[in-house]
Amino acid sequence: MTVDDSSFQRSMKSIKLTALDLMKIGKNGSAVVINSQKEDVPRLTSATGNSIQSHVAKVTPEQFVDEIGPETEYAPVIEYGRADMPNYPIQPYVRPSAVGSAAKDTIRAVGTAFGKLVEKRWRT
Amino acid sequence: MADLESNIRTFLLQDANIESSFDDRIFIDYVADGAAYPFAKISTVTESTEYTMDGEAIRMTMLQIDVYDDDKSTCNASAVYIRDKLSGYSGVLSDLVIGRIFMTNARSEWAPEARHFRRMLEAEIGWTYV
Repeated sequence: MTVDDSSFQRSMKSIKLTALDLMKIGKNGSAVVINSQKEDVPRLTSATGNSIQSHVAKVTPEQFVDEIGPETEYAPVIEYGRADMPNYPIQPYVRPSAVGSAAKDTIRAVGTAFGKLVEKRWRT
Repeated sequence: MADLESNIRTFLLQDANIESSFDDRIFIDYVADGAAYPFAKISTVTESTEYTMDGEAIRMTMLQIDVYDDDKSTCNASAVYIRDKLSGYSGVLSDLVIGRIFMTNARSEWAPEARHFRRMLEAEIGWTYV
């Protein structure tokens, strides 16, 4: 079955996104990734959980890059384990936020934000 | 019903290079006390399941495979044996069907207190039960 999406493609191309638009859309995805990491991070003092932040590295009309992750010195030890202690358990919380259902939720959040923007533009 | 980690371990030990390098010292989650170098540890990072209207379709599992050795070149060589054995593999392992294995990262680390090296491999595996 072939679906003719040419009019949809034309409509998409006619929407001129600014860098600010793209950042607003992308930030919805960032929030999902941050929440996923904060939910999964093991908590003793909550220092690592509280340090999980978003750092927007690049925003252009074509690209939005957000570097999200924890900032405590020992955060990688929780994620990857310790090289000097092979039996130290790994407790991953960053990598799972980028795959599986977390990735789907992120894409869904971005898609919803994009849809809202298109609808808003279409109405005005 | 065997799990993925056990099947991957068995699959790795079928390789002559890996068998001669590690003997049987590829562990899952827990490394036996006093294990000689080199040895490897397999851990599951995360596993997600894709569904269709017909039910479970495929599972995506990310494994972390740590290779330890007190010699840098042997550590790297042993890790390469594992990487080469797994990279791009698809086929049947016991009661599992492996769609494809992608080796995504290979970090290297020196542990000054333990006086050994760690080579950390990440494998993304799409699989399902037969």
